Amino acid sequence: MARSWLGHATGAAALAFLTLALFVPLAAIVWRGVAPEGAQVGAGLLGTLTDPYYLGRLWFTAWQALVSTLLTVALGLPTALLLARYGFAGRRLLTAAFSVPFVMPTVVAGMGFLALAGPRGVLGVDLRGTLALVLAAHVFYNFAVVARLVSGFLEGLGPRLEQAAATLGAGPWRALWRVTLPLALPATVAAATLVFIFCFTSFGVILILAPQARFATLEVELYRLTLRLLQLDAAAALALVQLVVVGGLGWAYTRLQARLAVPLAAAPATQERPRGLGAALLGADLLVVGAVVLAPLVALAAQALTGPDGSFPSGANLRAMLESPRSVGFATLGLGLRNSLAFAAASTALALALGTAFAYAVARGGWRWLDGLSLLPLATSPVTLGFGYLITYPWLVATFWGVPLAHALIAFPFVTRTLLPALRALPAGQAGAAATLGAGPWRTLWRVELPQLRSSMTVAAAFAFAVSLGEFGASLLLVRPEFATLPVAIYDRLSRPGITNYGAALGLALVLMAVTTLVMLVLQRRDRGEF
Amino acid sequence: MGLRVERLSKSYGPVRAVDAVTLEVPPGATLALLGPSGCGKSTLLRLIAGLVPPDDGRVLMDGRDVTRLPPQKRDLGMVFQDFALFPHLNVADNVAFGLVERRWDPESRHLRVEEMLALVGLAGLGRRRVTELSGGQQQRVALARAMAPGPGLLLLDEPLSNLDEALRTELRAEVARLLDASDAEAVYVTHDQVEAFAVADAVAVMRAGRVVQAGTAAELLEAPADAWTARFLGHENVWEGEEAVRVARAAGLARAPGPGQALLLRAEAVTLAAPRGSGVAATVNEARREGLAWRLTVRVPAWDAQVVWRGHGRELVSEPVPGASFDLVAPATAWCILPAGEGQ
Repeated sequence: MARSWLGHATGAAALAFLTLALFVPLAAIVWRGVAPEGAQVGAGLLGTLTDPYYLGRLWFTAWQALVSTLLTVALGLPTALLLARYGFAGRRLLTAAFSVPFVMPTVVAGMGFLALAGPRGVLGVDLRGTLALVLAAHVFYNFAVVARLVSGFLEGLGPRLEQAAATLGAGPWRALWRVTLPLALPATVAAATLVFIFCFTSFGVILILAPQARFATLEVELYRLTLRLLQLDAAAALALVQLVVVGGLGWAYTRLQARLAVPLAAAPATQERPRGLGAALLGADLLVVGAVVLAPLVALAAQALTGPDGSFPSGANLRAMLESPRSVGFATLGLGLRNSLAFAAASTALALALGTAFAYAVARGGWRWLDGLSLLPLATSPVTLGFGYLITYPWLVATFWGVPLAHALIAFPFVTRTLLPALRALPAGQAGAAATLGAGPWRTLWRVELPQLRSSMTVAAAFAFAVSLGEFGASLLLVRPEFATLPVAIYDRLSRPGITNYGAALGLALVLMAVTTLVMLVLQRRDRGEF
Repeated sequence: MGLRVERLSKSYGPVRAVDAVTLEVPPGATLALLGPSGCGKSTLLRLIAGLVPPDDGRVLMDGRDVTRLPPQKRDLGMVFQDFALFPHLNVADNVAFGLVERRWDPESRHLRVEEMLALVGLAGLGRRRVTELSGGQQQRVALARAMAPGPGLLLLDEPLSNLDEALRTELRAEVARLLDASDAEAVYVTHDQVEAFAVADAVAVMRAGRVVQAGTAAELLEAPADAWTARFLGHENVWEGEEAVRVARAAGLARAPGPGQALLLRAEAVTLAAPRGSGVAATVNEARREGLAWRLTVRVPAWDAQVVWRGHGRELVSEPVPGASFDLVAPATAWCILPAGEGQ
């Protein structure tokens, strides 16, 4: 693909923006951690890194992420294998439904699990404050990543190889063991890497479900050090550690994903109808998955509509969230919803522009190393980002644009990862054909490429919107009372005692869940399971 | 006892992909399934393989009814059009795949893989990744893999279609040699009649799910079942309707084709001799080379028709150029009256 001036221009613009919006704040953090005021260079960092307490936090973060990943793969891989093999009525709807958790705000997921197995939970058993609940929430969240990535890859390969194995004497189980699983391995590892990254940087789930000190991940610890204890030096050191670990893993993921590009099977293979044992396995798997995915959300809806006296349905909680209590700094539904939607709209526009520029620069400008960089915001983790903004651009944070900027940085990797494969999939000869007809790169982009990317852009925009709606970590650090978003409002209520507050939190969570689900309906119609 | 297929049928919705086909392949023989795309030949092959369950009919291998058995329980080997090599295994492990399933010990496996690779001309390439091989090499690995376990039946689904022309010609001869040397029966699916005749002992021509004609190359070419089959097999001098009657009369044939019949002149039985001899006057209209041979279109004024002739230029008395005159000699055996067959 010839490199066009437009590709270079977008690459330069994207890089400049990223530098200002991400690298500078990050550098400020790193500098803070390495050379804090009044101390020797490196002393603070070394001190933090060798402190047994923080090492303990690192160890805990790592192994809970590992266990979560293993559990997620244990549920996601069989589902992926079954989905890739069998076609059945309602399959598309089902796959879309499985992806709902992924865009759910962490606070909603957290509330859902509380509603399911919390102090007043539907299941009747109180698991609040246990690691088990946290792990369950992680699986709920990330199961779709494994299922869709792996099944998408396997469907691209088609059933031909298993058929060849059959003609060579391998029955279905032997073929699974010797052919399908080895083939699925790279995709599974890539998905697992991504899931590990998400679980490693887990914040909202932990804060809501298991806020005890011994369950603090690095991200939670960062939040405490920044906001509560104002120990910015130690916070910076932790941020650096997290950056290195997640950055390395993110880079590994982009290398893996590049190797996963398999040319799609020449003819789309018709899938088998499930029969016999296959049907039984499929049914059982779908049941378990359905339970994991639906239960928390259904429980949340049920509890939100249950009055404090146990009556159902009741609008008591919904009324509670509409009232503005006397204490300042408590957001109502109206304020929270307005802010959330406004921030989401602004950040989606920013994320689309930035993400498209990135994808275009990588695909058409040959700026391949930008590809790896685009995952950096994920590595940075929202709390770190918010922290960086606080110390670098305090004037920006005081205005409306502070939060959307942070949200856009968190969301644009999703935009890039959606648009890049779509751009690459456009037939290579098109740009050349357009050129011979007189269209330069900009006209080609506008008249030929973007129109074909419309559905991908809709998916990307919906993704970015949902990410912004549910964003919690950075928002917690950056919002002012007048800028409170729904997730922040929920957390506020949850942190105060009282049944009314808990009820209001449930009501707010229900509204947030409804809005996010609406956004998901847009995603469902266009998505192809790539990530 | 070989392979026997009895009244095998398969429908996809309203379409009869395979319509009550009965075929037999004697032990050790190779049968080609020849037909245009969509005629059902690949579906028939997959029915024989057991990859697709039939709606009706039976498949018998060496007298055994295998219709209800899955592919892994039938003793067969299959070569796919897109090779279907396992990308996560190297060449040797691909070839050894079926041997592992049949529990051969490592020593015997190793020997057999070496033997097969030498047989297909890939000796020494065992450790290569299959993704590094060329198309022709991949196809040879696919062959070696299917044949390694020594199955009783070999199924080949357009194995050379994905290769370029020169490679196809080269591999065609090799595949023919391999199939001849093997004891197994083979069913070879192709849409190329040259390939079918080169590789197989007998050819079954298929159209719209049915076998139109089956027989040896000689039988098919000398007496095609109908006009459609004649054209599909490469005959170009086929006349129908009024034209056929006119040519038959002008050529002085004993019988003229009636309604629903066509007239075939087999070009290989026609000679172009010196002008003003015992044949009928003909002038060259068009002369084109096809490889080493010539394809001439000659006009025969007496018949008011054109005849296509193929051959080597040395047999001709003068240069095959447009305008050259010859005498066209067509013995009675060169003519054939055929049913017209169903619509084109």
